[in-house]
Amino acid sequence: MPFQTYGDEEKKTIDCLKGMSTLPSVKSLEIEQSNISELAVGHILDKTPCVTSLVIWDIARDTFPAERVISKWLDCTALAKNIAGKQVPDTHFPHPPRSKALEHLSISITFYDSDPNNYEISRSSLKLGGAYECGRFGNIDAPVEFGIKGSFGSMKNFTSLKILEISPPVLLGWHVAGALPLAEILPNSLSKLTLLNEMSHWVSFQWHFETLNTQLRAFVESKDRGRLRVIEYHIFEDVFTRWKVDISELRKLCKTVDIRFETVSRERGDEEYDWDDVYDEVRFDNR
Amino acid sequence: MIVAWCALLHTSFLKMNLADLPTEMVRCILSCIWPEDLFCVLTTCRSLHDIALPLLHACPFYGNLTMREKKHRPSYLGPLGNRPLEYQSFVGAISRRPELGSHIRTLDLSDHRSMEWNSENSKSLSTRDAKTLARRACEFSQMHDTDWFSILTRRIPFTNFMYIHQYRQAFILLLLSYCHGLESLLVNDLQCFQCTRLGNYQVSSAFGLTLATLSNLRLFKIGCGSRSAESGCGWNYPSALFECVFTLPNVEKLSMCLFKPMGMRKRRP
Repeated sequence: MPFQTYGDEEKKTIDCLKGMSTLPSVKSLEIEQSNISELAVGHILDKTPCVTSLVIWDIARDTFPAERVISKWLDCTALAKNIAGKQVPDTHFPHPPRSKALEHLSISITFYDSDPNNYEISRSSLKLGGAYECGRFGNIDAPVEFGIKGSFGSMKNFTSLKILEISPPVLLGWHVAGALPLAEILPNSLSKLTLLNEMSHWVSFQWHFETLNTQLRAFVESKDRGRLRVIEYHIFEDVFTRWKVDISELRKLCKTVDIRFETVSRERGDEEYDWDDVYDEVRFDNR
Repeated sequence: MIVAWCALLHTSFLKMNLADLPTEMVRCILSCIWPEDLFCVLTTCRSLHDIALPLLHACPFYGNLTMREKKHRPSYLGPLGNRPLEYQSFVGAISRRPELGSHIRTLDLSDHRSMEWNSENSKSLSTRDAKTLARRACEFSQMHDTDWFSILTRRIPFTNFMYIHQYRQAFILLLLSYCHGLESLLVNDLQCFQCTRLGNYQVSSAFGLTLATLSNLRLFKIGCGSRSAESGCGWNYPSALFECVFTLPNVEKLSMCLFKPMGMRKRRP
């Protein structure tokens, strides 16, 4: 099958979507495992104006250094902008703007290598938590850049959002330095925040629990925590056991303000562990 | 006083027969029991038969059964998943009694059986040449005890056979043509996708299956099967999928797995 360039495919998809009729009946939209562009997400949502639940799971970018496939970068700022949408008066289907209608938003990202020759290498690298980094891949002379750009930024305009599932780098940006405080980002309507872990095995990952802990503590102690009742933290099992994360202090703090802090330990999304069991094992090893 | 009233209520409850309960209540009770038990209820009396029959056919395929559940499932209950013979047996039963098709509410065709359909027993029907098409159709008919060819041609105009690329598609199309009350459709690979695309094609070409067939559809989920995983990143921007999906008039929950590239981790549990 001949490969087409990213731009051509995107144009084709968007042209196709423009010609489609609007589906006001759709309330829940899930897009899983797709390499769809940020702009195309916006166009799909334009055609489903009454969506209240949006799940974009495993939005994929290919790290393979070739011109044949797609962009190697995901622009989180553009994605947020396209999800929020523009307020366009629609006489046929009067509806609130997307940012005001969305109640559930879930986003996760994956980077993969489409070159079959690199397939095994990349998998083993992932297992070792080694070679992949956000921003660089390959040898020093010919590095391949890939990763995420920007961040979701302020979500204060998502006034109906109740459930948000997102990883810290997508929400706050890849770099810890300069990240906005959670209180300035999260909407007051939010009742459950799930912090995913899909990028936590990368070497240059900065949002480890110690870093995030500071952000979360500041948020929980602030008056701008709104209606938040549950924080669910997905933790990468290797990191978890390696650095012996202690969440008890944060859990206690959350309890004082009537917020439930839960943890889910998941390794590369394949298996799910009970955090307390893993923690018990760690404590047993330390004796 | 209250004790006496309760005693009276208790006595009248003991005298009450299952058949005395309102139909809605019986339906609610029967919807909670396993298909095996439902089959037993079906054979007890006519009134229960009429209630149990739609429930038994509401979700005829059980792609998500565990191995243990599959093992303990009695053979008389018919198809388990999308295995060719089981599938054909079920479609055969529906074609003999089309009224049963209207009871089907959920079609879960997401079980990964495409490889079995792609075996030598399932030759490709893909052709635009009329002579080859006719020859293939005859082969198709001879391969099975049931006269599928005549059933297919009754339901789907022969000229549109060119859009059927696999036998599995033919069977899925045939089945869909009987499911007038379908509410949930779950498909899992490109073959099924092509089939649903056929459903779209019918809208503009009076293909036999009209959009009305899918007009009650509330949930449409298209997953990503093994074939697309093997083909790597070939299926990047499925515009044709959008062409299909955006013609479903009443769908409320839309789930699309557009592409499963090599090297990508497993989907979420």
